Amino acid sequence: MKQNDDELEDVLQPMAWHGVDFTSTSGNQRYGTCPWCGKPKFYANRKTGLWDCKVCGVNGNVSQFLERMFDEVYRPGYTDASRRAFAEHYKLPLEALQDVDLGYGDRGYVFPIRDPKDRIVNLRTKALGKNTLGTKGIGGADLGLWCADDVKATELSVHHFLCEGETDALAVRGKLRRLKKPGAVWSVPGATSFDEAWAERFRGCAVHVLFDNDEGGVRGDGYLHRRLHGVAKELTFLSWSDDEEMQGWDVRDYLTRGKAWSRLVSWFSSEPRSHSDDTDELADLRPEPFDAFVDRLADTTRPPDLITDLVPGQGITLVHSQPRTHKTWVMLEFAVAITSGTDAFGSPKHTVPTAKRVWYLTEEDPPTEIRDRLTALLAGRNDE
Amino acid sequence: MSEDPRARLMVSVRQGWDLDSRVHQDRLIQMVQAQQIEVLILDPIRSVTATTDQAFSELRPFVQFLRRLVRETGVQLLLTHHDTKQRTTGTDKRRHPQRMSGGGLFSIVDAPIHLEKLPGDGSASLLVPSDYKFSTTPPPVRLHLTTDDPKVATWARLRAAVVAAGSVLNLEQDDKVLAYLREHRGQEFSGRQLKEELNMGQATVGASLNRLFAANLVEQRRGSGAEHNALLWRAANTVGLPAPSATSSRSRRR
Repeated sequence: MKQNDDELEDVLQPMAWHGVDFTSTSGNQRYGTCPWCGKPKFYANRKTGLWDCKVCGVNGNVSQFLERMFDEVYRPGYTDASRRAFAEHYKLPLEALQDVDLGYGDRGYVFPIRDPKDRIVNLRTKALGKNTLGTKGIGGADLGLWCADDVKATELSVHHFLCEGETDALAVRGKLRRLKKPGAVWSVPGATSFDEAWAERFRGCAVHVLFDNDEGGVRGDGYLHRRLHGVAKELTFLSWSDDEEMQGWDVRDYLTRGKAWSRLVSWFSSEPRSHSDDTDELADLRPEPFDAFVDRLADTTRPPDLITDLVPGQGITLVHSQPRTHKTWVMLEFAVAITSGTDAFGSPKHTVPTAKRVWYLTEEDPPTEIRDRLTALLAGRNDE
Repeated sequence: MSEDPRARLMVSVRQGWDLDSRVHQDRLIQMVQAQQIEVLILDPIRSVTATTDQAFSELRPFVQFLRRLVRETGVQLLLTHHDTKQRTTGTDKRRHPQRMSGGGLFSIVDAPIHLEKLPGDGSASLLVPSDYKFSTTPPPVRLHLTTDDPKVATWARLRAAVVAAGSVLNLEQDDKVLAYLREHRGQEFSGRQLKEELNMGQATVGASLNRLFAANLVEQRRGSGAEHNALLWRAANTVGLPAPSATSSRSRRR
């Protein structure tokens, strides 16, 4: 019987995500189909993640599994065709994608997340035009920095460029290679998703933060400043031009429009666009002139209801009741309606104007219960 | 369905989230940003914090976290919470949000919705929005859960119908009056006649008729002559409204 992913131990999640089909359990072991030989002789320890394929005769820990998957499956899968497809889709020069630490597999492009000792701790995947996805890596590391270049070769003297996402990083890399400028390019998984533990990698280095020309990027500057100030030898931030055309751009938008790298570099500033250390956060706590406040919100309209005539489009909604009154059923119905963009409770009075991404989080009910209820609600809708 | 919900729905069940921990709070914000989550459902809220049933001073750090979460990510929050124990004697005349355990939580909620089980086989509930801060409070709805198997459903539908009453007691009264008028569709009755036919108090019948009228479920006209100018009531010719029944029948797949 196929093991349900919900029940699979965290330590084994990376293996299941990357091709091991666990079918059975025996004591401390799970076993299933080996991703390399396809035989049902792949054994993995449920606590340690140590694995062993009796047919291939190979074994190791979770990191070694990911290394092997990357080296034997994903890296060879990254061919000229997949390279060209990525370059064309994101309008990048081919140089950006040459000699890059990247693979290709069933789910799309594979980005190896490596620890400071160059061990792979996670393999994040990205299909063209989609967001990058990651399952839990080692120790729950589902986020991480991706370095486009050989991380071992990056030296203190090299300039490090931190970008918001993989495609931005590759756009910068393409430009640097075209100009024959040295530099290591990194992708940060989100403007404010820089773990404090990652800062040590940049101790004594020259670091340039090239975040987007939007509110998130501005906030991200402050976030990075708090983590890297005093750690990096040199720390600069891309302080975008006020040019209206560039509002909302990222560095890929800038570079793929053929604009000059030297101009971009001239905007590097040691001063972040915002500060988020405690002292400077207090500086933001000041009254705002009424006209400026109205101007700032000129393009902001009241959001439509999340579910018409039931759940408003702003603020906190709370459903409260005695136990066993269908609270969880109601929340799951909300989740299905909002993610599918269909009427809640089958009622045309409760339309969903825009489908949205929803995260349902519970620490109370068992995973099987939630799975069964969601599956049943989806089946109930599909039957209509 | 217009969109595949599977592509937009993320689920975390019993992963060990503790949102009283600063580390977990930061992690949640990271996850919301990285996964581009637009709506976060915490069901129930007390499963991720120990502060919900305490005084506001204890709840305050968690509230500050929720505000920070919304500010930094723009995510919209849908929460569930339990009520205090039901009163064993008399009628509970508290407003719905006041029944929520831990009064502090109510102060931060913009759209409280109360759920109450309806008498019967347990498949029906009354959902009552109340005291919305930023918009008009919507009317209550009666929910009915239909499944192929109440123990292990492989198929389920939760369906809603607008009702006039905001409490189970009123709903039972409304159902009784509406059922009678629909049974005698085409005929008109005064409040006094309904009171006698249904063996209910005059004030109760009057309040029920007013609620049903406000919800467009009944129609009225002023009588004349021998009818002594009394208001005459009849069932509205509305299509697709639920059959009034205080005790819903056993759920069955249609």
